[in-house]
Amino acid sequence: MSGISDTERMITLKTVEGTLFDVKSSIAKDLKTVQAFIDDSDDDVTSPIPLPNVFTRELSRILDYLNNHHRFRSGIEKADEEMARYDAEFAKSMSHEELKALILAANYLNVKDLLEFLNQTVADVIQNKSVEFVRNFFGIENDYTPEEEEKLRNENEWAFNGVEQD
Amino acid sequence: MKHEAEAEAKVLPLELVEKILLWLPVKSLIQFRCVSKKWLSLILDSRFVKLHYDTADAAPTNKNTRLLYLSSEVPEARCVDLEAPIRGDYALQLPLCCRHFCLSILGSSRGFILLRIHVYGAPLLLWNPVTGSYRSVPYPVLDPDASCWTGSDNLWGGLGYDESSDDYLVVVGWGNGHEWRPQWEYFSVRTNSWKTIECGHLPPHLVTVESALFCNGVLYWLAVKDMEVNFVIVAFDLARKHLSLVSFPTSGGSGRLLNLFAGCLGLYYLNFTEDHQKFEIWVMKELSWTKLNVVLPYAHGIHPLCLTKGELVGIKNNELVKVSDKGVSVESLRISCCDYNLKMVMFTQSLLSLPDEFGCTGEEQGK
Repeated sequence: MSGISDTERMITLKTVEGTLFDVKSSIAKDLKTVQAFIDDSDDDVTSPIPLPNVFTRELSRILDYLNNHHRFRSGIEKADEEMARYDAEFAKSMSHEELKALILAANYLNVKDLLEFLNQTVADVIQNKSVEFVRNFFGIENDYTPEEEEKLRNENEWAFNGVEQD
Repeated sequence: MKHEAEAEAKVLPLELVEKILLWLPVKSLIQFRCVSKKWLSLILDSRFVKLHYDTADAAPTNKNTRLLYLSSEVPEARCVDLEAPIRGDYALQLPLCCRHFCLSILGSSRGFILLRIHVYGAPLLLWNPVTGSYRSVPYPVLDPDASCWTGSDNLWGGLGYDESSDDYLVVVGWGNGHEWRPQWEYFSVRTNSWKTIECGHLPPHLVTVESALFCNGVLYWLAVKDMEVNFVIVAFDLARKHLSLVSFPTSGGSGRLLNLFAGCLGLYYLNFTEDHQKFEIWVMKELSWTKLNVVLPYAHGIHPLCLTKGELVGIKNNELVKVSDKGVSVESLRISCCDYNLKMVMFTQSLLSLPDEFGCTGEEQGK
């Protein structure tokens, strides 16, 4: 379809729940999984692309993040500060479960920058917390015996100073 | 209809967890070894450890940088996080074999510290305070009558990492103020052997502070040259195995080398060319010096260690002090350390191990 510039083309994505999202192709480029699908298709992709692993809540957040970041990057001054504020709000707005769900979705869709941001966010959350907190956060079972765990803790006592109470 | 899967607690697979762990400081990784055996195995994995080190190194501020000093009161090393409130210092066990001897720190690189044990016949030690492991490095000259042992020579050294060969190099030199003809040697951890460093092309020089600073692939020592009180910096490029001299920005003396932000070499020294001789901090960028606009409360005798977030951290009279950019003391911590040059070092915590090309790594958990 000559005459229509690339940035105006719209891609439609369909979530697990069947919700449709129209996305500018310039944004879709950041969803590398989607972009690969488009690149691999012989013809222009006109029908909605199904995303069997992505829920509406997550896709909505991801697109919100990408849209905002594209806006910040399109050269207004002071964008860095605004972007930092947006990022902080974005991170704060999610519960731990929602954070994890978003990581899974961002990983599936291969959204590199967002994924890195989310990883750093979770790292910041768990950084000064107890081992028990971390187990709960990730849903991990403790497979050490009490003696084994005690031994490990004693080996590096210094590292356990300053841990926040749960 | 709310999808069932949404309501379940999400479980992140280990490959995704790993990407989160890359952003944690070393201290957290040590704690989280206790989370589960899978996590222990991941955190011990050398591929992960290297990736973690590189990630931390590439960040704007390295969360793992610490000040380590040898206590003059008890046989232990102490560690201070200069970014956080500096009150939180803690003890680290020295390797058992050297704990009760007189020690000097000759340098550090990538989480390893080069220790000199002041006992004739004792080797140098490459020690990782976080993992507790260490490796002995015997000196290049073992003859007890050699001048470096009889006390007529000064001995100096340093530790660096050569990225081009993924190798750690220990450099040692010795010389005296009578002959002004020092000898230099370097040891490769990978090949477990010493080689001589050519220095005939340099004017006569003598290193004055025995410990080195490692910065961007080069080891630096404070020195004097030409048999005069002409202060200079000796630089050893690890990739090219090449020794050279770097002049001070202006004529001056009483210096101290600093590891500054973005891996730049800093020099704190007394500038003789000012009307009122002043202590200044200069930064070396691409082989040229620029003066740093920093308020230095030199009149109060502070020896700077580093700059963090616009605040200067230094030592004054057995106290670690943080000074704001207005020259006001923000925080202080009493430390018992008697030699700022040889018993103290800025180092970056890591979980790295030394390359294991030849023979054993001395493994001890520091108890």
